[in-house]
This record gives sequence, C-alpha cells and structure tokens, in this order.
Amino acid sequence: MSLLHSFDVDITPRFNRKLIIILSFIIVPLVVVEIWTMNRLATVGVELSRLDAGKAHLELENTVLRNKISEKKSLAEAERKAREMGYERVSKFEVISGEVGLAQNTNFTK
Amino acid sequence: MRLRVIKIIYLLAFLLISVRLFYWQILKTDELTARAEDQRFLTREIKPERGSILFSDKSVLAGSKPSYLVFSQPKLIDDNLLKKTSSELDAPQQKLDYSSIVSYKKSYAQKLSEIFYEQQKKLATQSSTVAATTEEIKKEISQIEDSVLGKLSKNLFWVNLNYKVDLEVKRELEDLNLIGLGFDADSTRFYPEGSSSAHILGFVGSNEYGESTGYGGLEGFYNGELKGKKGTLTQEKDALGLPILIGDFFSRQPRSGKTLKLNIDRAVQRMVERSLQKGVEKYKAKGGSVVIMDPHTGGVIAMASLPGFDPAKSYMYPAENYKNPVTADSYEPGSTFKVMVMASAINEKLVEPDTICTECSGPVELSGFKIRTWNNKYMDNPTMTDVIIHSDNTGMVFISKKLGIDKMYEYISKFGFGDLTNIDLQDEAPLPLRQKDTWKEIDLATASFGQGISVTPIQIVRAVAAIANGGSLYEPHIVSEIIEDGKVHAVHPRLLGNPISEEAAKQVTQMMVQAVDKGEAQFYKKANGVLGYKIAGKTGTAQIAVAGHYDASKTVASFVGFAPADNPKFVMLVRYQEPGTSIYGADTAAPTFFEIAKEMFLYYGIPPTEPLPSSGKP
Repeated sequence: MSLLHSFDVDITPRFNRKLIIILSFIIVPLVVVEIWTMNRLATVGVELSRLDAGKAHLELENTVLRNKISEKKSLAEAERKAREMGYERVSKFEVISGEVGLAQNTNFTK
Repeated sequence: MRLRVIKIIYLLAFLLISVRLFYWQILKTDELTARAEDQRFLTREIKPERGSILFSDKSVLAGSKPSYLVFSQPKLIDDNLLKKTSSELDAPQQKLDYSSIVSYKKSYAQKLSEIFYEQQKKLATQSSTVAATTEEIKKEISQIEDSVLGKLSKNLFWVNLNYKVDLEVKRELEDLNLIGLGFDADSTRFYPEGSSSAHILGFVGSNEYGESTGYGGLEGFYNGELKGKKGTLTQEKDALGLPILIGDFFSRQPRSGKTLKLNIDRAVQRMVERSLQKGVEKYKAKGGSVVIMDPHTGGVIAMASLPGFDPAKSYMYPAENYKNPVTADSYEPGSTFKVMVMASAINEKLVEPDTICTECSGPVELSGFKIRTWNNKYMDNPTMTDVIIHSDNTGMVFISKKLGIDKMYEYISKFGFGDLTNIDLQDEAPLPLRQKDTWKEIDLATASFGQGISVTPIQIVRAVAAIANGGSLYEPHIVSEIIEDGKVHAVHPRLLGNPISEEAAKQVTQMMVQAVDKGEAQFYKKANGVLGYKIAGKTGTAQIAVAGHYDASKTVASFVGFAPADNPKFVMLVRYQEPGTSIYGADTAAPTFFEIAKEMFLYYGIPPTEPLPSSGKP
C-alpha cells in the first residue's frame, strides 16, 4: 500500500505567485521570439536554395566558357582559320648564313 | 477500496506504456532512426569533375563538359493531366480522359525525338551510317519516337530517356515545358583537338556500376588520379523538400580529379599526325606509327598511330583500334636493330668502325640456312661502317659470332628488350625474351639483323635514345607534371642504366650519320630539304612471319633516327605496316622521317650545321 500512497498528490501551493507572474512576463516573450526566429530560419531554406542554384549556374557558365576558349584556341581551329584567310604551310625555306653580308660600311669621300 | 483499484489500474497502465516505450525507443531505435533520417534528410551525391589532361604548353587535350541524363516521370504526367483543365493544355476538350493522356504523350515523344535525333546526328562520325535521305531521316526519328513513347507508357515513376545530352540540348528540352521531364547533372569528356592523340589518351567509358572509368592510355593508367572523389551533401529538409538552414547539415566536398600535364608538344603532335596520315595513304600501308622522344629525359614529345579512333565516339570504332601499336604491337625490327648490336660489339671493343669484315664477300651458310644481304650484293672487305651504311646482314652475322650468345643476350637485356618500358600508358604488352639456353647459332645470327626477335616500337626508340644521348637508358614517360589543388608534382626522368659507354655511342652515331648520307635513304634526305642537318638514322625492312615462314611481300618498313646528331633534340621512329607501294623502309618510312624532321627543325629554330649547296637551300 505504501507504493500506492506514493502516487498521492500533495496540492499544497509552495511557490510565490508574484514570482511566477514576473517570470511568465519574461519567459513568454522570449519563447515567442524564439519560435518566430526558428520559424524564420527554417523557411530561409528557400533563399539558401536560390543562392545555391545561382552559384551552380555561374560555375556552369564558367565551365562552358572555359571549354569554348579551349576550342577556339585549338590547333584544328587555328588551321581552319588560317586556311580561310589564305595562309599556306611553309614548304620551302632558305637559311641565311653568317657569311652573307646584310649591311656594311663603305668609305666615301665628299 | 475503489480508489485502490483505480490506482492499481493506473499503475498497470503505466507499466504497460513503459514496456511499450522501451520496445519502441530502445529495441527499435536503430530502425526508427534510419526511417526518420530518410524522411528528414535530403542526401545528394556530388559527382567530382574528372581531371584535365594538358599538352606541354598547358592547352587542353582532354577536359570535362557538363552533360545531363534526361528522365521522365510517367505517373506524374498521368496525375498532372488528370488534374489540369483543358485551358492549360492544347487539348480542345473540356474534360480530359485517358485517350487525351495518350495523345499528349505522343506529342511529348514526337517533340523529344526530333531533338534527340539532331543530337545523335551531331555525335555520328562520317564513317557511320548517318541517315542521308528524307525517308531515312523520318524512319530514324520515328524509331526514336517509338522508343520514347514506349518508356512513357510504362507504369513507372521514373524512366531514363537519354543520357550524355549537351547543355544546349538540355536548354532546348527545358523550353518545351513538358510535364515530368527532368535532368540529372553529369559530365562528359571534352576534346578540343578532336581525335588527336587518341592512343595516348585512351577513352572514358562506364564500369559495371555505371561510374565513369578510363580505359587504355592515360585515362586508364591514371584513372585513380583523374576520377577524383565523390562528395555528399546531407541536409535536414522541410515538408516541401527544401533545406532547413538551422537544421543538421553534413557535407563532404567532392575532390576534382588531378590534372596531368604532358611532355606531348601540341604542334609536333599535329605535324606527326598529318605526316602519318599522308604517308599511310601515299604508301598504301595497312597502318603506321610514329613516336618521338627527348633522348635526354625519356619524355615522349609525340606519338601517333593509324588506324586510330575518336575518343569522344570510341563506341563507333572496332575494339582493335583502341590498342596502341607503339606500346602493345610486337614486331620484328629488322635492320633498325643492327645499331644496337653494333654498339654492343664496339662497347666490348670486339670491333671498331673501320674493322674489316672477312666473311662478307658472299652469303653465309649457317646450320643449313643461307644468310644473304637484302639485295644479294656483296662487298669485298667492308668495314663495320660499310656494314651499317649498306645494311649488310652478313656483316652483322660476323659481329654476332664475335659477341657470342652470352654477350648478345646480355646486351639485348641491357638495352631493355624483354622488359616492359614502364611507360605511363595502360596497354603496354610484355614481351619476354626467349630463354638464353634455347638460343641456337642461327638465332644468334638472325637476331643480329633484327629477325627472330620481337620488340615494340617504344622499346626501339628507348634503346636508340641511349645511343643518341651518350649511353644512358631512360624510362619513357608521357606525363611531366601531376597538378592537384595548385600543387605541382613533377615526374622526374628516371635513369635505368648505361648499356654502352659515351665513346661507343659517339662512334655508332657517326656510323648512323654515314648511313643516312651514303645509304639507301640519302636521296630522300635531299628530296625533303634537310641536307644541311646532321641526321643519324637507320632504315629497317623486316619480313613478317606468316604461317611459319617469312613472306617477302609483307614487311614492316621502318626508320629510326635522331637529330641533330651531335646534340640531339629528338629521337624518332617511323613505322609502316605492310606498305603497298614499296616494301622498303628507305622508300617509305625514311621520307616521312625527313618530312617530320624538317618541320621540327623549323619549329625548334634549329639551324643547319653542315655545308649547304651554293643555293643556300638545305
């Protein structure tokens, strides 16, 4: 029976009512602010997704541009353009040796 | 009494609840946690970007571009169509029924099939059967449409419609605003130089798990470095599936693959591919290879083979084209092997360049075989230099007898034959030498002029490079740097040994210079305008063994050389498989060698060093 008696509730008030009211005026607004902030932060996921998407889009554009630059810089492209502009491959060349004079002093009198 | 009964009932109820809570919260905790996480968390796998492969000038040889898997959600289409009114769709009816869903899907499939067909046409090579007539085009589009419609008609949540579609195609598809159409991001290999360097690169395919994997060449050899590491992003999500900022967040960033910078020179590679293509057509050869190496470092400057393939469309080529003949094709080198044997004998001081051959005035009989010169012409008392100039097989037999089997075998091994070169390409084939104790007198003799022994082109180039650089054997390598997060790891030249002395190398070099200036290839040296350059080289014409005997009409024609001979900038091997116009290396491989050499002299700004004809033209 003592175990059953241990579940008997003692309803004698023990706390100061004034203290409870003051604490309520402090705690309740804080709770409201917290709920509002948490809710706001929770829904910022939308903004986060938008920023992530923006970042991914810019990275994608960078990759695309980098690849376009590589294509334009390729030798195949350079050869094609050179051919269109009328350039030809070098097939013959001459070597100018040190023995050949390009410019030299001459003595002259007035 | 009644109060006690109620208290007992409450106590029992409390105990029952506790037991049940214990069951759910302690015993079933793992299962429930997993299910809750599955509901609460959004996990995305982030695929890493495959590493790039760059030429020596840092221009891109292989990069990555965005591509997409196109999927559709048939059940979503059905649900959406049933809910939508006719004002939001093309259907004229006020109320939608299942026949309208079918009609919508047909229109859906038709729009997609036209775009998929255009993409397919862009990917097709010239050699494939691309639809030419209007009838054929209509038939192909109809086939694609049927395939798409078949997938849309399935009672599934998700179906794959196409994969590896470009960004432009994806944008075109997005503009159609089709219900349930979605895209999964992926990436595909991108080759700005087209099919250049195909055998060097290999190609990227999918493994059994559907992951991108490199096969052959650099993509295969360096797959671990290039593939990078997957990342994951796990976030708490709300009821709409959007991430919660203050929620739990676990991320592991993907690591992009490492970048490889090669020794391959973009311009030289282009020269080589152009000349090789021209040569294979001109000489009506079944195939050909060219490999160029820096003799002082082992760095491979260029490498090309035909028939080749396009790494972007590798599936359109027969599998035998994927093999790199430079590293995986074995052949009998013929007379190009003579320079190594001569170098060995000179190194052993068994002969000198002016040593006279006393057994070269006619064919040599050996073990029941008759060994002749290639043209059945014989000289009286030729020197060793003459033996090289005129590619005299009987002179080589004379040298091989002096060397003996032991020394011959030793030097063949010292020059690296019989071992892998360990070049950093995936498909190198091992070619072990026959055991020394199985060699007979005839094997010694035939090996001296490059028959009866199998080598790969890269082994020949590596061995001749040892002659070019004064006697040092280097490991060939394609990659010069591995770059990760801005940090550069250089691949240093690796010296494997010194098969011959510097003095022996110089002497053989002079003999090879004379071979070019006075041998069968001399006419082509002049014809290709490289007279003013000191080029060391040797022709090779090796008969191909067919069904146990050599077929005189089928040869591997080759030319190996280096230039400028006194301070070589490059070593090059040109090889044609079964040329049709002439079986000889002097008539086919040598002209191609000189053509490429001339372009390289211009490219590197190497002036001629030898006296020029009075015209001043080399």
